[in-house]
Amino acid sequence: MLAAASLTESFRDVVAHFQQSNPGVKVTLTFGASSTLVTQLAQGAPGDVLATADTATMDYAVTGHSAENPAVFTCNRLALIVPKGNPKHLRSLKSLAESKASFVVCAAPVPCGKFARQALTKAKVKAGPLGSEQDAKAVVSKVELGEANAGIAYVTDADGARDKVEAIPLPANEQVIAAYPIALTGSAASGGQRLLATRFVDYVRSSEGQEIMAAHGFQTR
Amino acid sequence: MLGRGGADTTSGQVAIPVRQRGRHVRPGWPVLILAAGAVVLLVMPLAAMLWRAPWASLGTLLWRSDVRTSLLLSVECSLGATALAALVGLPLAWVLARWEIPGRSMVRTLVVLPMVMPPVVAGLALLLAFGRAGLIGRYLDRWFALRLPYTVWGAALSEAFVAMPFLVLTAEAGFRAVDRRQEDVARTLGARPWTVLRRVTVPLAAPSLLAGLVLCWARALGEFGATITFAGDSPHTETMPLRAFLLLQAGGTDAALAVSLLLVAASAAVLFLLRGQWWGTWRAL
Repeated sequence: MLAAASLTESFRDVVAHFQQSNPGVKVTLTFGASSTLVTQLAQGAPGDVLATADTATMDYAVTGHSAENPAVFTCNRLALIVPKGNPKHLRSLKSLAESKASFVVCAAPVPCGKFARQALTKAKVKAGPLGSEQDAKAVVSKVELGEANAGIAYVTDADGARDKVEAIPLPANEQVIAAYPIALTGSAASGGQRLLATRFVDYVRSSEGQEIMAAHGFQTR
Repeated sequence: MLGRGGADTTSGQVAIPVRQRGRHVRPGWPVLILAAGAVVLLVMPLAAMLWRAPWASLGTLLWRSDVRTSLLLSVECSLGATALAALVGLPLAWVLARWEIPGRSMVRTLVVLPMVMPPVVAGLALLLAFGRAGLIGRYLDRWFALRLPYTVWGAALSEAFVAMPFLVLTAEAGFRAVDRRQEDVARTLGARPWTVLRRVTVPLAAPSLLAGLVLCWARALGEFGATITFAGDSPHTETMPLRAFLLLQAGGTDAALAVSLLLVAASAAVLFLLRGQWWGTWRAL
């Protein structure tokens, strides 16, 4: 299972439940920036299922015959990742620009980075980010370490570091919704392996899987 | 110290080149085959790069604005890093070579540490020390509004950190090999310590010092792990190795290959420059 970094906590939960209801089946998870995962898949990295943080990256995989029949299974919203307690009292991208706080975003080819840049343009913020991080989790790390005052990632990304950071969802007028597609990779071996992979995808899209995603802060499509 | 078939400068004996020693024994087949295996292992990746290289579009790829920016930045940072390493490293090398204090071997171990540390670990350590919330970094930020991550200074510092050991060790060996008697003679003739250093020690150690500087520069140029971890990824820190990595991540394999070829060419040039010095340098390390 290759999944976008922002799916880290939620998918670990989904896999745990899936393995419980399917004893004997083992799912290995690899997380990373969606664009990186797709590039690795194209270069022959092993993987049976792919889940990306935007449809454009998935389309790129489909065109390259690395994935087939994607279907959107959940959505996410952008948020400002700030240190716990929100010392700079940031509420929106506008307030970020006004406070002249330093912030980081994901790199341009990463879905999270694309959306962040879209949101910044939408909010007419001129200030550029301090730097670009490899994926959504790296953005959270930099805020945690104190290297940047804030980061733009997803609402769900503060999950893994609840005691150090918090996520402030962007207001509706600045918001960009990310639709996450999931698909079988072109390299999923035929027969038993493919069946299991299909079963996993179905589980993710089932009401049980959707409940788990919602519990982690994701939204239904 | 033996030269290439030349005179031994310390004892005046003439060195006999290996070829004349009369032992023309060819190693046995098993050894030869394994040795050939080693050559294949080392040459294959390079050969693959040359085979797969986008020769036709190489010029266009290297002329891309992002590649040009990275090239300029890499040259700036590596030279800056070498200058920083020389500024503090050469005095350290001289102290290690001349001052007989008990803690000397511990200092030398400390100096070698960045060489054996995984670069990413070095980057993390630098972040914890010099990052905005770091041990020293917080004061740099508070008192001087100086931030190192995401700046060209941060990139230069991470390069200097990993490359300095090469300079210090080579320079120390160079200083050590200088004939003390020459220095003593200069002193008896009335030269002050600084003059002795300037007119006798440094010129005699010059080949090693130069080799050390070149090695240091080459290592700084190629640094990736520490740079991306400490200095991060921003327009001011995207050196050539980072550029190759980022291009690979974004699917620009051809451009990444072009950048890689340039870096390999730079490394090859360094090795060629140091070909005479190589034996002396590695004996020192």
